[in-house]
Amino acid sequence: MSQPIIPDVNEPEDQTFGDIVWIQFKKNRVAYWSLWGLAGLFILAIVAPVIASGRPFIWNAGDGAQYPWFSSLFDRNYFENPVDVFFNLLLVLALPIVALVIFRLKQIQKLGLDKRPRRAKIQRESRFLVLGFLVLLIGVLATPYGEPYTQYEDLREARLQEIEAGASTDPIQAVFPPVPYMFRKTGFKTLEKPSLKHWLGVDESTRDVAVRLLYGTRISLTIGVIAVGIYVTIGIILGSLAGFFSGKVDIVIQRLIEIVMSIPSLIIILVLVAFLEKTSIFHIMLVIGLVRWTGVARLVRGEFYRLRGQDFVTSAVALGFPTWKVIFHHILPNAMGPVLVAATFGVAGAILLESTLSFLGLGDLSAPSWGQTLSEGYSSGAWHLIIAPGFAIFLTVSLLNLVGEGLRDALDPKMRK
Amino acid sequence: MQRGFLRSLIGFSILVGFFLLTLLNVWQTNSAERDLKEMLQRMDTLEKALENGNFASESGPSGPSGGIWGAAEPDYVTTALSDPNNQFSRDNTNWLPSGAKQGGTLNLKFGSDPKGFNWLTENGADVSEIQAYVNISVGAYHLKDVTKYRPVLAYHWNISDDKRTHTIKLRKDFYWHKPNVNWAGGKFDWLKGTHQVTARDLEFMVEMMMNDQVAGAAPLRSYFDELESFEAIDDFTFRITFKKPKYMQKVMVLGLYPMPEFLYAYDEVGERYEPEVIGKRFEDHWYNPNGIGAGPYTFTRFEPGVAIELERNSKYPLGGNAPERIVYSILKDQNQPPRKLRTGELHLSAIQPGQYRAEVLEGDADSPFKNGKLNAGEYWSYNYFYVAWNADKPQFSDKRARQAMSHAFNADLLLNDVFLGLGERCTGPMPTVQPYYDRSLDPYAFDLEKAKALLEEAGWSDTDGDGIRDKTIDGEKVQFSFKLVVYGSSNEYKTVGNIFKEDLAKIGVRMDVAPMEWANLLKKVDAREFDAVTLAWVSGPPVDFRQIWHSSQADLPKGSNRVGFRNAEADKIIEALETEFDEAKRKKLAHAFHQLLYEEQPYTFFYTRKTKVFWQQELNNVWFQLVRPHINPRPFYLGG
Repeated sequence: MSQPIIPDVNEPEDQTFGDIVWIQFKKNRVAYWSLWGLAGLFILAIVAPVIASGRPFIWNAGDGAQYPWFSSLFDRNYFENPVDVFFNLLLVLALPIVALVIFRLKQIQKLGLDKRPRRAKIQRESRFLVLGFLVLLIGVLATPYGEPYTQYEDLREARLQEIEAGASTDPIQAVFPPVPYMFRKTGFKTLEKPSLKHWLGVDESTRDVAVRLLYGTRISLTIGVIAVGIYVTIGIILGSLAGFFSGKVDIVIQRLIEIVMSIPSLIIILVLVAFLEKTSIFHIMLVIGLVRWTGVARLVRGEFYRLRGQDFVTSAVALGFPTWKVIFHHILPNAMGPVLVAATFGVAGAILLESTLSFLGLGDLSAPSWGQTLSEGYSSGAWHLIIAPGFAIFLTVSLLNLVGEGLRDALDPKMRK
Repeated sequence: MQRGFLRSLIGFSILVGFFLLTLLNVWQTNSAERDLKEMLQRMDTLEKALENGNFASESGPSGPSGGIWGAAEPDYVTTALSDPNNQFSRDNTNWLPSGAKQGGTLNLKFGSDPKGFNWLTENGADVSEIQAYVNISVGAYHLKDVTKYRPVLAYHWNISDDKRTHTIKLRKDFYWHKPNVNWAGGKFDWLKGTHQVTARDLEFMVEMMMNDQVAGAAPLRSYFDELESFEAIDDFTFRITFKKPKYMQKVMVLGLYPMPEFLYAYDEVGERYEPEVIGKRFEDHWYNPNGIGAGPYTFTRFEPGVAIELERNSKYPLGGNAPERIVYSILKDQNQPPRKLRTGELHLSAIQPGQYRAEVLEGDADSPFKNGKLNAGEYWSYNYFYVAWNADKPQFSDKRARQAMSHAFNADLLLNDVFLGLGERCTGPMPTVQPYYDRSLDPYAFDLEKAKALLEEAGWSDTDGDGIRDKTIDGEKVQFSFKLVVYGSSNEYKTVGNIFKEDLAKIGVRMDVAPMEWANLLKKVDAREFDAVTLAWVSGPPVDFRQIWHSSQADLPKGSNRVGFRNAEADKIIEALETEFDEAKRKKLAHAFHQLLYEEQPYTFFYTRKTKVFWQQELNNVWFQLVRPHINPRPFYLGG
């Protein structure tokens, strides 16, 4: 990786640009802890079923032990939303993946290889891991697996009552997660205020708000990451083409950007949602991705203009590399800084936009999004339905903005401490 | 130093000078504007006075006088009302108490932006409310008895012995309001003068209603498919004849209203439309953004998104209208009315169940909704809510499957907790307030075990163990999964969907809730592109099942039998009801129909809603009628 920065005398020689940025980033304590906060949210999203699920880990009704919790993770009658399946797969694979990564790192260290090949190797291996994960995910999604929608808790209650009445003798042995119900479980008292049993109260559809918020983390993070992923990809490709070739290509792409920018995204989304019979959150991600790439494209184009004339590009061209290699291997890595910053802020923007849509009543009802709860609070006037999701949105968006700000400062050579 | 000080002093004084000049300028402009405004206002009143004077002098000394108590009843009306052959009878309900105060502005709310005020083409419930104040109909129900009729525009209504011919005699003291156009410049001079409401206007209305080019009148037109002929015999006599006598014709004739031919038959410069195109021109007439009538209030202003204003028609011969002006604020956000009630900006408004919970059930003790600062009341109306099952879909073609759905629908919980008990469970195709409603039937109980058994019986069982019931139909395996379309902007319906979904999941049925916005929802439902939908029907007092339940309506495009209900027995009852005029026999037939639909469950009948209304204390004589519009502001008066 090339280093377009002014070399500092104190810097060890094998420090890459990434290392420098990371060191700089760590110096900004607020941003650093915000990053940990985000990681915490992500972990919370992954382990949500361990905390709250209506399926017991172990269940023995007298006819042998069953493990409904494990089979429920990929049950499309229970977790209807693909987002949940994705996170459940992460949950299942988290332990092996982490173990594998640590094992490989140790192995590499033992071999005493020097830093650069190690980096390349890790990169290659992580690519394989991600690819493998995606293949597995598609496999799981393509083979819908379902099982009867059993109300385990009700069954246990019924048996307890039977025992009290003397009709049965042996109680059901079961181990439930700490919160023994799901975000979709109905049947509590409508709009109940926060209590010891329901920390954040109950919503209008008689469901527990705390559990909904917990699972809502999954929705918000996925929407943010995927929507931004889509638009960063589009933006980078178009931006680099415009910046590298300039001239006619640039003019065409610039006009395209202007056209897309002049269409208000919320209105496109509203129109699109009106056409769809049932909006899934993937539609929303796609639309956000398709209308918001213009900013990234402009940033990348600007960076390319700056870098195009520099020596390392000239030498790459002189060495006879193909154009795509010059663009994507030589210039692009150096132009990524501003994009990363924009992406971080973009995730926050996408989360807000999804909340807006849910608030307007056009979200996906099978996804426990924060905006939905907020909207119920607004129309029913229940304060506990407004404060909690409002705070969750505020927290996530603030954390993302703080990280984005830290990243921007860390990437700026002038701000270096 | 000295010089610098002097310089800044001069600079400062120049600045101060400029500032003072600006102030002076602002003040001058302001006062000039005020003068101008005052002058314009004066000219306006002068113009109005002149015009009114014109009107009065043209209509002559015997013309209408009205006032709050109305004009003296002409002798021919008094005589006619004592005629036993007259369908009309005098309504002795006290409309406005004798101490009622006159004047003031009544502030009400309007829930949407109307597309226009052509009464024939705009069928929204909101617009019909305005219509009730601006225009008049042939007659109306008695205020507290929907089995009797009182005269309005007509004073005599005779039905021939074969029940086919209706002859209506109109009063001679109704005049059209002055059209709400820009009179300056003389462009609309051709509209000037007094225009009496004549039988010709009634004829014009029926002509337009029966004109196929007038698409907006299609729902109304469908009630007149037995129409044989209609004509204005003279200026004040109108006759309408049907091919076959039907009970509903009575109600339809009662609801006829005049449309001013002198306005709607002409284009903007006063040229009469050619007969071939008049229907099309009428449908999107240049006057449609305004309303006109001959009723107690004149339509004076419509500003989209802001307000609709009505002004008292002092020449309305029947009187009974106290407030000088009625201002409808257009409030599209449903959360606005309670706030505006609190601040006193609205005199009266119905409130939504969610608001009823927030303001009344869980409101503070000193909330104006609870401490008596606002008066409270409620009205029942002819409505029922339901979940409709599209019988053309394999899942719902069997009545046992539909019964199972009804058993899995936790209606009591929804009604009491989500809809706050503001209504009554309903078991059949009639509102519970309907006199023919059969109260001997019990609502379907919430019973998942019974629902499971019914589904098994109908052949739906989980053969592949994926948790969802399925059935092999014509060699193809069909899963019992479907979409429930709900109105997306209302959380209550989404709640119905969410709770129903969970209960259905427990019996092995997968349901997705698809929230849609209104226009889209109606399109889908009209095109029958739905599995299930939750909606409501609003009707009038007479039962008429043809539109919604007759099999002939099931295949009509945009017909109201959206669920494809085809039942020979039901058809027979519907047809018998249409021609039966005897009340006791009608009731029997209606009960039989009710029982049949209770068994068939083409819908899961949910409940009949009552509405909570709050009003300011300065508003007096508030009461509601059972028929639309329920909030009838005419007898209200302010202060005193």
